[in-house]
Amino acid sequence: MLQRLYVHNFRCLENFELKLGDQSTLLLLGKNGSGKSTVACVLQLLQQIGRDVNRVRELINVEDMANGHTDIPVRIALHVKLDAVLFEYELAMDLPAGFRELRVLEEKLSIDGKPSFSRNLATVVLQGGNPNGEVKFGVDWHVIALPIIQAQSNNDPIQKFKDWLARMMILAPIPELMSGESKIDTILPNKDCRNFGEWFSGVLKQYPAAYSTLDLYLKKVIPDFGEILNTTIGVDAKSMHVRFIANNSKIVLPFERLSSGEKCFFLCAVVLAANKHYGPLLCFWDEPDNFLSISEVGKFVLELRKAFNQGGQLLATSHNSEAIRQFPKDNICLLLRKSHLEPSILRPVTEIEIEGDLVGALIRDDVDL
Amino acid sequence: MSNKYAPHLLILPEDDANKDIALGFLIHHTINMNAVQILPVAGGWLKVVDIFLSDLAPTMIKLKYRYVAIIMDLDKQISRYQEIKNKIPPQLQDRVFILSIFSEPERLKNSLNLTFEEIGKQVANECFQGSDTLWQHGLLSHNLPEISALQIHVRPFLLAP
Repeated sequence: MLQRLYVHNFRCLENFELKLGDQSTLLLLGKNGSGKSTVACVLQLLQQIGRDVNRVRELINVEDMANGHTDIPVRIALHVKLDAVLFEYELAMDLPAGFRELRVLEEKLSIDGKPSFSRNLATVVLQGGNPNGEVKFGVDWHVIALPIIQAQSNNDPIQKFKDWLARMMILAPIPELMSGESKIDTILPNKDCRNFGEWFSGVLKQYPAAYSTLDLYLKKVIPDFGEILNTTIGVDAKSMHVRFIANNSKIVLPFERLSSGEKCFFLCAVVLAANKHYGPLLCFWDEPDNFLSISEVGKFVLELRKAFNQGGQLLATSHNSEAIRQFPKDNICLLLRKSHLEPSILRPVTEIEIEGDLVGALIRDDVDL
Repeated sequence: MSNKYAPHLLILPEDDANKDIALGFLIHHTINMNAVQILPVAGGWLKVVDIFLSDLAPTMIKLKYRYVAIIMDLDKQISRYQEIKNKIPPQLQDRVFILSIFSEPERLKNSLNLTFEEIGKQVANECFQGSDTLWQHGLLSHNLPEISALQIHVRPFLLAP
């Protein structure tokens, strides 16, 4: 569970703190440009570190420093609790005069309050789990240390933390790009979900029982859904087709022929299966209501909330009144940014005085900090 | 809610607090979400009556498996319950349920030391277990006759298969 995210000097986020504690679902509200998607970008940066991207320039560049504040380091801190173990990861990157690429200024990981490793510029000190005591080594200051620190085993807490980062589902799907074809298998979805077929194949290959979760959900939301066929179409290549059954007739359609909304149902099915079979996971879904008919939005969002309420964590954004209604006020935060020159401010909705119902107040633009 | 021709329940909340209680009920793992839908908040008890009479009652006459639960505050006016009950068309009386908090939701929340959603989960849990411990609370006990009726008519299709 993500318990706390702190960000400083990254785009519109300055001294920004998101405290989740043990909340399993949270909705981020705010006008366009208020910083909701920037929160997703920060999580994606951390996800990429978990996925072994270690070169700083592949994660962040000078334009990401808030309002050109190149003299102040970018700081990101993350508190995550996994199986009652608290992981605290901090990363600071700066841009010394004459540099065109940010460098790592400080990096630190603590596990249950005990330092695992710390790093100052190019010097990394391994402190935890080493029988020979502290070990020091040098690393390029444009390289993040976490991906290159080798875990001793799959049960090594560092590996567990890296896996959690890597498996975060940061989603802003573009259904037109979602393909059912796969040449490789993966359990790591892309943000735009263009590798959907590869993700589907990877989940079922590693967790075959996940198909029952997919099947159960899809039969609930698409009454004529029959089954998914993932057929071989060449050497190491597969293609998803979907069989529909109605009135004793059958039709098989390529995944690409499904509507945008239908593709989102399949995406939701894999999200639920992934969280159940190799979770608990963190899912950040940017506007999960996109592409859905108005009668489907509420149930779609509530089904996600219900699943993550039993394990894992769901962060969502929305501008859709029906989606917003599916979150209680205790699980909603508002982001506000007065201008492009000012940072985003975050407040729980319960701390804001609201006349009448929340959706009505949002429509009237009556929600102010 | 998937099939309006199968038994289903529409929940009409008076305000956000009542809506959040209903949300807690729905996300409980025992509840069949396909059989329930929460409608937009009415924004006051008079509007609850208006929406029920103008939008819901006419469709209920056509759809015989449609049930409606109104969730509202009595603001300590116990006569309000009967006032609303009297406005329900006679042929719909056994498919409309009025659940209310005697004063206001905040008092119930503080008294139970739970969030609204947690209260809703507890309601669902009791629905699953067939008990009524929560409904014995001083701010809720006037609902017991309605709860008995809900247990008979709605509970059978509300629990997940």
